Amino acid sequence: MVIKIKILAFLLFVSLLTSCDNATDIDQPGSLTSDVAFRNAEDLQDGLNDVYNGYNVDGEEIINAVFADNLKKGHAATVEYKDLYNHVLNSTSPIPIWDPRYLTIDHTNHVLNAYKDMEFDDTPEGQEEQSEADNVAGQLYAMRALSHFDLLKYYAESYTDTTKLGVPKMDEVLDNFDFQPTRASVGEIYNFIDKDLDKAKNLIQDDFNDNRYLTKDAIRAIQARINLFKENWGKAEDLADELLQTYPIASPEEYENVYKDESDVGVIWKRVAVQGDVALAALFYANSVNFDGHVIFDMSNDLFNALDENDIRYNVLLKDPNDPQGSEILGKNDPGNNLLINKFPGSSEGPLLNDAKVLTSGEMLLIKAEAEARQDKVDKASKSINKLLEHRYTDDDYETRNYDDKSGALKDILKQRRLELAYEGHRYLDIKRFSDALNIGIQRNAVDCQSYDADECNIAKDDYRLNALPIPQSELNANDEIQQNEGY
Amino acid sequence: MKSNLTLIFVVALFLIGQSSFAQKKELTGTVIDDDGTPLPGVNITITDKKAGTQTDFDGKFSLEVEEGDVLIFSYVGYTEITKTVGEEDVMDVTMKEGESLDQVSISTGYQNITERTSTKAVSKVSSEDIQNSTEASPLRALQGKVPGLFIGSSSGQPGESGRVILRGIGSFNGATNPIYIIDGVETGQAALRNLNSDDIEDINVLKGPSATAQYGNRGANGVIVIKTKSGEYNEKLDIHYGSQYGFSKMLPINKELMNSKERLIYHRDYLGSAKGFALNDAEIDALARATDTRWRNQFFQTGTTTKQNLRISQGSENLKSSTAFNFYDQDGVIKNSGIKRFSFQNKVEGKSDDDRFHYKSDIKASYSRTDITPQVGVHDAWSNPALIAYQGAPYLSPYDPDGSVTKTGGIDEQKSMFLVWQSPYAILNDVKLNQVQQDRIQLMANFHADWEFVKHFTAGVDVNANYQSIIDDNIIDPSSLRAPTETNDDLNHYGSANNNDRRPFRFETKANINYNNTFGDENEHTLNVDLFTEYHKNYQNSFGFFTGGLNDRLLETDQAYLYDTKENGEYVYVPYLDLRKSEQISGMFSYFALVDYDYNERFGFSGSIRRDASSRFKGSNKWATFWSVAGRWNLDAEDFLEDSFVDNLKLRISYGTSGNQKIGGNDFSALDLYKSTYSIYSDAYINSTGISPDVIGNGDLKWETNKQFDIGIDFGLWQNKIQGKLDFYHKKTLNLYKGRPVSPVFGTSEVDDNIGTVANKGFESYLKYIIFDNDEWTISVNGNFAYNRNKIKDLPSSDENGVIENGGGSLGEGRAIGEHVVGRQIGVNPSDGNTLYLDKDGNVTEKNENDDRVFSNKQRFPEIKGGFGADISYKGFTLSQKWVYTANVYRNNYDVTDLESEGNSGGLQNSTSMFRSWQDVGQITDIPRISTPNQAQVDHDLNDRFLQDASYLRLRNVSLSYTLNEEKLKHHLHLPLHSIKLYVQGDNLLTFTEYEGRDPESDGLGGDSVGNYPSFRTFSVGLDVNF
Repeated sequence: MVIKIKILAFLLFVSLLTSCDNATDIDQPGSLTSDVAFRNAEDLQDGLNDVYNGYNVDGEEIINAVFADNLKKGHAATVEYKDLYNHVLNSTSPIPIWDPRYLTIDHTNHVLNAYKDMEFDDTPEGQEEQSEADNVAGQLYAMRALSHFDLLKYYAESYTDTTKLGVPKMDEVLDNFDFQPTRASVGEIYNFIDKDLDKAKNLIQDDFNDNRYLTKDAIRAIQARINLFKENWGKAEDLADELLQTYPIASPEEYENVYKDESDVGVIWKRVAVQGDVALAALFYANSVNFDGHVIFDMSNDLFNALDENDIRYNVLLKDPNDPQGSEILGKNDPGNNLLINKFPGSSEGPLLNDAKVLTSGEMLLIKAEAEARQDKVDKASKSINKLLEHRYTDDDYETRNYDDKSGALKDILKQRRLELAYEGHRYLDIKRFSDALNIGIQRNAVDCQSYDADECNIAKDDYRLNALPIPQSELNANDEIQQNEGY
Repeated sequence: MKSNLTLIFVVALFLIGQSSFAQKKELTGTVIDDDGTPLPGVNITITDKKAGTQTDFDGKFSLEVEEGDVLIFSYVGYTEITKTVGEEDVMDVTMKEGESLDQVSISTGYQNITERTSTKAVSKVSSEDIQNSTEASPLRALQGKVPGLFIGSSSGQPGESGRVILRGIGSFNGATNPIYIIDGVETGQAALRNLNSDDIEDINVLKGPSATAQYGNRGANGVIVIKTKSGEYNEKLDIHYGSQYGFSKMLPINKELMNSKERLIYHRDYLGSAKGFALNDAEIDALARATDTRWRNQFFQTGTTTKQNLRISQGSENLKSSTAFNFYDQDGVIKNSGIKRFSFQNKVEGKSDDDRFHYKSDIKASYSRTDITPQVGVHDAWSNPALIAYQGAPYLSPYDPDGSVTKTGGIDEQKSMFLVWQSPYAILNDVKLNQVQQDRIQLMANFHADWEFVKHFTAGVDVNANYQSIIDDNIIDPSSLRAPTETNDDLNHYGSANNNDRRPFRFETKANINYNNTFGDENEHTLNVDLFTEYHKNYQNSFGFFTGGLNDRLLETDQAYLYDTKENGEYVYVPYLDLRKSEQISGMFSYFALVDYDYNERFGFSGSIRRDASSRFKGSNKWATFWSVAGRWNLDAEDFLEDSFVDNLKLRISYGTSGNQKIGGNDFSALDLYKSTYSIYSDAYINSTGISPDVIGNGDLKWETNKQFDIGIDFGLWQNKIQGKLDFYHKKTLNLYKGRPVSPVFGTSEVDDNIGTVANKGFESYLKYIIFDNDEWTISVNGNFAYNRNKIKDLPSSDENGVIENGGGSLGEGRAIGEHVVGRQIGVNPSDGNTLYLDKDGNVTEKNENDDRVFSNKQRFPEIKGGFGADISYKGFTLSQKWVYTANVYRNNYDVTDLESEGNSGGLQNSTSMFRSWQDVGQITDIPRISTPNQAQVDHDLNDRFLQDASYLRLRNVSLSYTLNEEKLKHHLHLPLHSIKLYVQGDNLLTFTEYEGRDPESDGLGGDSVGNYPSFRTFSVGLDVNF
C-alpha cells in the first residue's frame, strides 16, 4: 500500500513539476528587446524616424500664442485655454514642452547607444552602411541639441548668465527609476549643445540636403538662433549671412505658397505633418479653418492693427473677409470682429494639417537684422529689413526703413518678427528677449483682453512669468531635487 | 442540534421503557416534499440502532421497527425530520426545503466541507435566491445578499454586471474583481453574461483568509465559486421548463429639466445669447407651443425580456446526468441595445459500484450577441445617447414639417456638418444606424476523476479548458451623419468597419492526493489532508482590422470594403485597411497542501501552504509562498450549552496570506514588464517605419501580498429560528501595484512598481429570523449589514505630506483609496456672483487653484452596504421582497454638472435650477452667475459643488408566486405534472436617495457617474413547470 501511494504521489508531482518551467518562463511573441531592435543602419534610421515623429512644435505654439498678445477668444470657445490666456501660469498649465522634449532626448539616447555599439566591416558595403549610420547619428546629435535648446529657451533662468540654472542635461539611457535629475547650469547646457552640434556637423553628409530632415544647413540655422539668444551678435550675424547666401527670401507669392505647403523657397527645415500628426491649426479651430469650424481663438485686434493690407502677410495671416466662411471685420477694435487665422490653412493631408516651417530664411534675415541693430549697425539693419519688406509687398509700396537709432530699429524688428513669425512659437520669447532693450512686457489690447474675461491684460517686464516657465508637475511629482523657477 | 438529540434520546429511552413489550413490525410510508413530489434517496435512520434505509424512486420506504423507535429522515437540501414510531404501520412524511446549518455544505472549489466543521468565512447563496432573475448576468441577483459583497451597477447595458468589490478595495489600479470559478473552471466577469442564472445550484463567496489562501496566487480579491445544477443518483426523469416575460422602463431623473419655453426665456433673460436671445415673448410662446421635445422619448423605449429554460435530469444507481438549454432575449431601454443568448450545458457524473471511483464530465457551450449603445459612459453630450436624451434642447423638433422623423432637423448637412454633429440628430442617427456589437462564444469543459486507491487515500485529477471567442464588430454606416468623420477624405467614401476578434484560451490541470480518515477510540478524530499541484496556462490570440470608406451595400461582409470604379467597372479594394494581430501567453504553476482536523465536531483546525510561480516575474521574485491557519470551536457541543436555547454556536478564527500577480487587472495585460522592450510602428515621421522604446523594464516587480485576519461567529438559536453570522476582518495588502511617477527624462512619467500598503477593516453581519412557521404559514425576515474602512497605510515615493499628487485622483497616507480630493466651494459671492472657495488654509477666495484641493473624507466606494428582505408564504403563495442599501458613498454627479453648466447653455439643456443663477448684486443663491470667470466652476477636481451623497435605499425586487403541488395537479386537475409555479415580480420599484440625476447606483469608471447606461425598472411574469 505504501509503495502504491509513493508511486502515485511521485508520478503526480514529478510529471507536473517537470512541466512547470513551461508555465512560468514565457517569452511573449513579438517582444522586441534592445539586442534585436537595432541591428543595422536601417534600424537606426527607423529609430531616427521615431525621434522626428516625437518632435512637435505645438507646445511652443501654445505658450507663445495664448500667453502673449496675438490671440483673442474665438466665437465658439467656451473654456479652452482660458486660464492660460488669463495668465494663470503654474506647474499644471497645459504647455507640452518639457515632457515631449525629454521624450525626444530619451529616444535619441536609445538610438545613439545602439549606434555606438554597432560595428561595420571594411568591405565597401560595410563602409557604405557606416556612412548611412553616421548620417543618422549626426541627425540624432542635432535633435538632442535642438531639444536641449528648446528646453533652455523656456525653462532657463537666463540666456546670458551662464552660471544660472538651466535644465537637466540628459546624455544616456536611464534604468534606475530612483534617478532624480537636477538642473545643469546654462553654461553647461550651451557647451553640451555646442559639442552635439559639432558632432552632428562632422557626421552628417555634405550632400544630404533634404529640408524635411536636419541637414548641415539646419544645424547652422540652429546655431544662428542659439547665438542670438546667447547675445553673440557677431556670430549670429555671420551664420545668418552664410545661410542667406543659399536660401533666398521667398517672394510674396512664394511666401503664400510656403504656408500652403506648396513651396519650399527659403525653408531650411520643416517638420512635415501627415495624417495623424499634431495639427497646428487645431489651436484655433476644432474642426476646420472656417467660420463654422468651431473657432477657439482668432487673431487679436492688436496684431490685426499692426498688419498692412498690402503686406502679403496680411493675406497669409488673415482668412479672407470676402470668403463666406472668412473673417468678419466690423471696425477697428470692434468686439464683434472675427479675425480668423489663415496661417495654417490645411493641406492635402488634412483640413487642419500643415508642415511646421521651423527654420526659414525669413527668420535668418530677421536674426541678421537684429544682430546688426544690437551691434549699433543701424544702417545695415535698415537694409536687412528693407530687403525683407521688398519680398513681402507685391507692389513695393512699403515705407522704406531708415532707422534713427538702435531702439527704433529694435522696435521695428520686433514688429517684423511678430508679423513674419506669428503663431510659430516666437512671440512670448521675443517679448522676453526684447523686454530689457525696449522696456516692454506683454501688453494686450483691452478689447482682446476682455474677449476671454481676462482680469489681467498686461504682464510687466520683470514679472516672473516672463522670466521662465514653471517646471511642470510631471517632473515635480517624481523629483524632490529639482529647483522650481522663481515665482512659482 | 446536539441538545435536540439528547432530548430525543431521553424521550426515546422513556418510550422504550414504557413499551418494553413492543413488537417488531414493518413500517411503510412515503416521503414527499412541499410540492407533493416524492423524494427518492431520503436517508432514514433509527437513532439508537445501526439500522436504516433509503426511499426508492417513488419516495416509498419500508423498515423493520419497534414501537418507540426514533426515526430521523434526512435529505440534502431539506430540513431534517425526527419522528417517533407509535402504533401506526404507515408513516407518510412531508419534508420542507431548507437546510439546517450542520447540513449545509460549502465548497471552496478545492474542498467541500460542512458548514458545521468549516473554519472559513464563506457566504453561500442558494438557487432560490438567484432563480427567476430578469438580468442576463447572475451577479446582479447577488446584490444585497452577501454581506461584504458590493455589486455596483456601472451600466444598465444588457449583459453588463458592474463593479464587484469584496471586503473593500485592495488595489490602486482599480482591479477589484474577484475570480470566478464555474464548476471548477476559472473565468472572467464578462463571461458571466453567458451563464443562465436558473442553472445555478449555489454560489459560495469566499471572503476569509483560510478560504482565499487556498487560491494563493489568485485569491487576493476574493473568490466566487459557482456550482451549476446536477442530476441526482436514483432520480427519476425530471423535466423542468421555465419561461419568463418582462418589460422595463427607464427610471425617472431626479432633476427638473427646462421645458421649451423656459429654455428660450433662459437664453434671453439669463444667458444673453443662443436661440431664444433675440426673441420676444410672442415669438417664444409660438416656438414653445410648436415644439417642446422630451428627447428621452426619442432615445428610450420600453425594454422587454424573455427567457426560456429547459432542464432535463436523471440518475440511476451509478450514473447521473443533467442537460440544460436556455434562451434569453433582452431589448434594452435605449433603442437598439440588447442581448440575445443561447446556452447549453451537459453534465454527466458516474461512480463505481463500490463508490471508490468517481468521474464527472461537464461541457458548457454558449453564444451571446450584445448590441451596445455607442459612446455610453463617455462624458460628451454630443455623442452619448444616454446624455443627449436628457440634454437635448427642448425647442428642437425631432420631426420634419411633414411629420416624419427628421434626419438633420433642417440643417444642411453638406454645408455645416459640424452643426449637425452638435445636435441631437446626429446621435439619434447613430443609435439608429451605427452598430456596436459584441458576439461572445464560450466553451467550457471540465473533466474530473478520483479514485480511492487505498483505503483513506484518494487520487484525483482535473482537466479544465475554457475557450472564448469575443468578436467586437463596430460599423459606422456610410449613410449615417457620423460617417464623414470616419474616413479618409481622399476617398470620398464614408463610414468604417472596425472588427476585433479576441480568443482567450485557458488550460488548467490539477492533480491531488487526498487522505481522509476518522480514527480514535470513539472515532473522535477526523483528519483530511490534500496535496495539490496546479498548472495554468493562458493563451490569447487576437485579430482585428479597421477599414474606412464603405460601400453601403452588404455592410456585414467584405463586399462593403470594395467600391466600383466607374471607369472600367472593376471592383478595387479601398486602399485604407489597418490590420491588427497579437498574441499573449501567461502562466502559473503551484503546489500546495491543505490540512483539516476535526475533534468530535467540537474543535477543528485547518491550514494551507502553497508555493506559486508566475510568468510575470523573474529571478527570486518569481516564486512566492502563501499560507493560512484557522481554528474553530463549536461551543454548542460543550456541556454548558446543553439544553439551552443555543442550537448552534461556532467561533472561527483565521489568518492567512494570498497573492496577486495581475498587474493590469487581467490575464493578458502588463506581461513582460520586467524587461525593456521596443516597439515598431508604421506611422512614424512622414509615414515611415519607426522603432520606439516601449517598456522600461522593472526587474524588481513582485507579487502583491494580501494578509488577512478574520474572526467570526455563526449561531442558531431557539430551534434555529434565529440564525446569523458575524465577522470582523482586517485585511492588509502589501507591495501594491501602482504606476509610480518617474521623471519625464525617462521618456515616460510613470512606471509600474510595487509600492504602498492598504488596509481594509470591516464588520459583516447576517441575520435571519423565522418569525412563524407552520404547515400553512411561513414568515421570515433577513438582513445583512457590512461596514468597510479603507486606509492607505504606506505610500513610498509620496511627498513630505504623504501624498502622491494626481489631481483629483491623488492618494494620501492615512486616506482611503477613492477618497475625493477636491477644492471646497462654499457658495456664491452675493456681491459679484462668483463662486467662493476655501483655499487650502481655509481662507475664503474666488480663485481656486490646484494646490487648494484637500482630502474630503468622502469616499467613492461605499463604506456601508447591505440588504434586507422578508418572505411570507401561505400555502402555495409566497411573497418576498428585497431591499438593498449603501451609505457613506459620494459621487461626482456629472449629470448635474452638465445640467447646471454654462457649457450646456447653447444648444443643450439645463435644469430649471439655473434660474437661481446669480443675477443681481446682493442676491443670495447657490448657483454662480453665468459666465463666472473661473474654470473651476465645472472642474470636479477643483470644485466639490457636484460631489453628492450617493447613499440610497432601493426596493430591488418584489415577487409574488403561487405554486401548485403534485397532489393538486395530479389528483384534482389530473395533469401529469409535479409542480407549477407562477410568479410576478418587479425590480427597482422604489428608490430613496438625496442624489440628483439619474441613478445613485450608477457607478462608472473611477466611481463617478458619467453618462452611463441608466438603470431601469422591470416588471416580469413567469412560469416554472416540472414534469
